Amino acid sequence: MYKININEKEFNCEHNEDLLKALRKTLDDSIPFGCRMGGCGMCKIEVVEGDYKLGTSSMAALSLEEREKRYTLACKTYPLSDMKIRIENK
Amino acid sequence: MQKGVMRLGRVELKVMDLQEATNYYTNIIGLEETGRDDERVYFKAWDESDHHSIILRKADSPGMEHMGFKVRSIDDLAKFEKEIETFGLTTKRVSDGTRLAEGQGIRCELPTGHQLELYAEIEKLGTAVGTLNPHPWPENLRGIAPHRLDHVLLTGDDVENATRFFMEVLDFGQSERITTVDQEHMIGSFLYTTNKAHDIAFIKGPDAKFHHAGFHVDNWYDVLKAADILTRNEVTIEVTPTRHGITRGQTVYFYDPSGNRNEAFASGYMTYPDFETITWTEDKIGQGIFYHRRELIESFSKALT
Repeated sequence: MYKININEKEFNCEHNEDLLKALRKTLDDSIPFGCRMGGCGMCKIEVVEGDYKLGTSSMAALSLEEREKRYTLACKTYPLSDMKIRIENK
Repeated sequence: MQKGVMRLGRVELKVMDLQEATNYYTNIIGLEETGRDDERVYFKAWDESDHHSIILRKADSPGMEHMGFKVRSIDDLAKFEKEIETFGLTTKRVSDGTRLAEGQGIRCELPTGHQLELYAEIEKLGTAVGTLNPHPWPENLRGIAPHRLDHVLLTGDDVENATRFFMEVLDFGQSERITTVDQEHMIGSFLYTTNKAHDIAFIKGPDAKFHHAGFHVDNWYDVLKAADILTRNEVTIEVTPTRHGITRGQTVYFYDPSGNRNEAFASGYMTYPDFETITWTEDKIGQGIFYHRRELIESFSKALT
C-alpha cells in the first residue's frame, strides 16, 4: 500500500492498482477520465515525486517526450513507491 | 435510381494489444473471427454475409485506420473515383490482396482527415442462419452478438465539407444536423445511404479522430442485456442504457480494451430519400444526444481515439 499525494490531499493505492481507480474509491472526481484503457488520454497527470509503472498506453495520447517528462495516464499508472502527482487536464 | 453506395461495410480499428482485443471482440461483442494475416484479425457479425466488417490491426495508438463503404459494382467504383477527384480530393487505388478476402478499392482522405475506402468486391461467407428456410437467430451466440456493424461517428473540424462530400459525391441524405443556436453553422451531421437513421455521423472536434462504432441489436431489452454483459465482464461503460433524441435510438456506450468507444444501438427511425432533415440547436444538444439526462458528459466530447 502506497500513499499518493494529489493537490495536498492523500489517498492510498495498492501496488497493483491504478491511480485513477484508487482515487475514485475515495469518491474524489478531481481527475477527469474517459476510457480507463490508456487510449484517450483524458486522465493525464504529471508525476512530481515517486516511482511507478506505466501499463500499455496510446502513443498518440501520451507521447515519448511526455513520458520522459514524467507525464502519465492515471488509469494505467501503478505506483512502485509513495507518489506526489499533479493534474494535467484542468 | 438506386444509390451507388450500399452501406458501411467495414471499419479497421487500431488496437494496442491484438490478442486482448481479439478476445474482447470475439467473446464480449460476440463477433465471429473469419481470418488473420500478419498484422490483422478479421471479424463479422452473425447476421452479416460478407467476409468481415471489423478488422483489428496492431498499432501503438488506438483509433480508426480506415472505414470502407460498399458500392454496387466495379462500374460504380470508377464513377465515384472520377467524382471524388472532381470534388477536389485525391484518390488512390487499393490493390487486390492488400487485405484478406477483399477486391480492389479506392481510398481518399476526407476533409476531416479520415481515410475512406469504397469497394465493390469482398468474399461472401453467408450469415450464420443461411438463406434457405432460416431460423431467426443461430444457436450458441456469445456476448452481445449484434446483428451487424451499424454506423460510425467521427470528429473533425470541417463538418460542413464532410457533409457536402457525402451528399454531393456519394449521394447520401442528411437525417439530422446540430447547429449553432442561430442555425448558421453546422457542428454535427448525421448522414444515411441506407434507410437507417444514420450510417455515418460527424461532430465538430479534433481532426481524424474516432468517436465510436455502433453495433445493431434488436431492441431496448437487448441494449439492457448488452450492459449486463459489459458489467459481468468488467468492461468500462461510459453511458448506461438510455435513449438518443437524435435518431431516437436506444444506446449503451462502452470502450474496447484499447479505449476505442463502442455502442450497442437499437431501433431509431427509418429514413427515405425524401426524408426532411431534423435540426437540433446547440442549446438542446444535451437532450439530442442523451434524451433523459439532457446534459452531455465530459468524456463524450473528449474521449476520442
